[in-house]
Amino acid sequence: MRPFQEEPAVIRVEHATKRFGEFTAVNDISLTVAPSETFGLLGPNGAGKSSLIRMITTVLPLTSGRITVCGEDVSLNPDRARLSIGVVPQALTSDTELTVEENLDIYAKLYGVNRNVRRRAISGLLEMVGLAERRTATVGTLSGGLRRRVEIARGLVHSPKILFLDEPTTGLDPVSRVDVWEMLQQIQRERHVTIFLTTHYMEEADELCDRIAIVDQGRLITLDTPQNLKSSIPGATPNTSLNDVFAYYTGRGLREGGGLDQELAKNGAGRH
Amino acid sequence: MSTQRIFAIIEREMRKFMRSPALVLISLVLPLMQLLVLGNSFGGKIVGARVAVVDSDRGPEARRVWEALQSVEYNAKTFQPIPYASEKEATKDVRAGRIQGVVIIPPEYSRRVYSNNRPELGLELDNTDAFTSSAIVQALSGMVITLNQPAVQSRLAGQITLQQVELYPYVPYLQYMLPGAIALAMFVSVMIGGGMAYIDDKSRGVHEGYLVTPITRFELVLSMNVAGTLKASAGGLSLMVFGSLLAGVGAAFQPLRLLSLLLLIVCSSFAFMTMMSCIVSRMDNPLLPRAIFGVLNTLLYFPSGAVYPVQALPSWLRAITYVDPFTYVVDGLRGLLLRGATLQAAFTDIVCLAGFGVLMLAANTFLFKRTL
Repeated sequence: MRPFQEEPAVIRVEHATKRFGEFTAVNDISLTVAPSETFGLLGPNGAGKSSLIRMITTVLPLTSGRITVCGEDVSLNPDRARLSIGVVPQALTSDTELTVEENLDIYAKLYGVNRNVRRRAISGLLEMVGLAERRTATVGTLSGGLRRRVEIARGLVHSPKILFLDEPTTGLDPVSRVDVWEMLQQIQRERHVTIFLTTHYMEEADELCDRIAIVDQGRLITLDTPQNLKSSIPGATPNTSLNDVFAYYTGRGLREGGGLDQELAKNGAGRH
Repeated sequence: MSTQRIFAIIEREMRKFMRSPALVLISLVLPLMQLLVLGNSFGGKIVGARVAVVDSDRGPEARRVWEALQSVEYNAKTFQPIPYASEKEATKDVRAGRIQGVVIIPPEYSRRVYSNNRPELGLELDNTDAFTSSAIVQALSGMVITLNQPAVQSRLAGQITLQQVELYPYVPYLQYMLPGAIALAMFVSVMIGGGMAYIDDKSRGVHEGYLVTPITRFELVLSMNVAGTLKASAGGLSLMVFGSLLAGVGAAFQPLRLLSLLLLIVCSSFAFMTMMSCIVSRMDNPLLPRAIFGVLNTLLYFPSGAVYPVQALPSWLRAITYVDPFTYVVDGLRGLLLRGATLQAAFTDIVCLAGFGVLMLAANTFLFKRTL
């Protein structure tokens, strides 16, 4: 038994399955996440990462299986589960016409945070993500990296126990990406928030996560610490990367169909 | 139910609305254009059509016909008579679209008049254009009545005449169009600020953001509909002010009537918004509302009595008007703006619209999916 699993789990996924018609997006996945852990779901595009994170965050109904978040069943008590989680979605969804502060304020209200707490929470968060100076700037004037910070701060307005991030650095340039990594590490350090993220960048998983679950085609392939994963494959060397681990378990490279270079090229063209 | 959450969504929608003035203006452009272009082009009388006159008689009675035609040219100005040598030539020009009709004075016309032998004037019309030809027919019928009048009137008037009493000063078509234009302004606001904005938010993932918060289905549906109603009311009210000034409808600015109008506009916006929400609630494709806009506009706006009286519609079209909120909006606005009616006159419309809105809100709540 590994130490993480001996602690009480904040997320417990038991045989979660999601089917869309004939297609099985998530196929019988079980895992647990311990408090204050940074947990990564690593897999190529279309592996079922987003479906799984959506099921855990109560927005996608399970076909079968059971998921609890902070002890609340997401199918039976979704509202209670929602109060203890913050979600940073994959797409940038903050309103570009609204200011940084307004974006956070509206979400704090949706979570029922009362006025005084709201003001303090938002100031503290803006300080933390380095946007205190730009609080009255409309989000449309911010760069992609800064917008991502707004969304991260937005996910924390109600001081959740768990923060979910769906591909938090997809579409960011390498500098902004490192920036986000540092911010997440800081959040983890200062607020002891459990972080659950999905990514298809193995260096991101390697850098941030205490444990990594590798998923492919809806199935959980393996789950362990980055170090253990790397040393688990035959002929492992100090230079073994998670990409090698992925290739070993699935028989193909992680970068196929959505690697870093393609992603950068795509987003370089699409950014405004 | 949490009012804080409801107000948060409304606040977000309204802030976005206020900060995109271009979008607000665009939703007013279409109804204003319709009001100005349609209002000025349809209501007007037909003036200066060209009518050929083929005179094969050249007698004294033919002279009288000529004089009568010229009096139409100088007074009502409906058409201008142009002498043609032969019927064949005239018909050719009608087909070519150079003239709109041909009056034929047949040979022996004067002789038939004097001998009371059923004198006839011929009229060929380009009836591809119903409006112009009916105007020509009207002018010529009037002329024929005048021609038939005996030179010496009998001293006792035995003929029945229709005494017409018009309750209101002449209502130009521009004013007739105003209620429809105001309704259209609300509808376009709802289409842009309700339908398109909703699907846009959905495809951008904004909704998914709401769904991870503890907001309930009804709170979300209610707040979005209230926000849409506010936006559409702003649109309707602006057009009412601009339109009334343009069309010269002073009645709009009497304080009490203004209150009635405000109530009607809010209820109308609510009916339109909730209807739109129901239509788009299960849509994901951002192109769909743009595509259905024209369909809905034609289906709901045109039969509503906004541009042409409901009484002129065939029964299947009239069936639509009973369930079409546009009908009630236009009827209520016409009463308040043009007939100078009080709130009482528009009360039925207001109740119908509010009731329709509540039904649609319930349906919208039912249709809305709380999960993806």
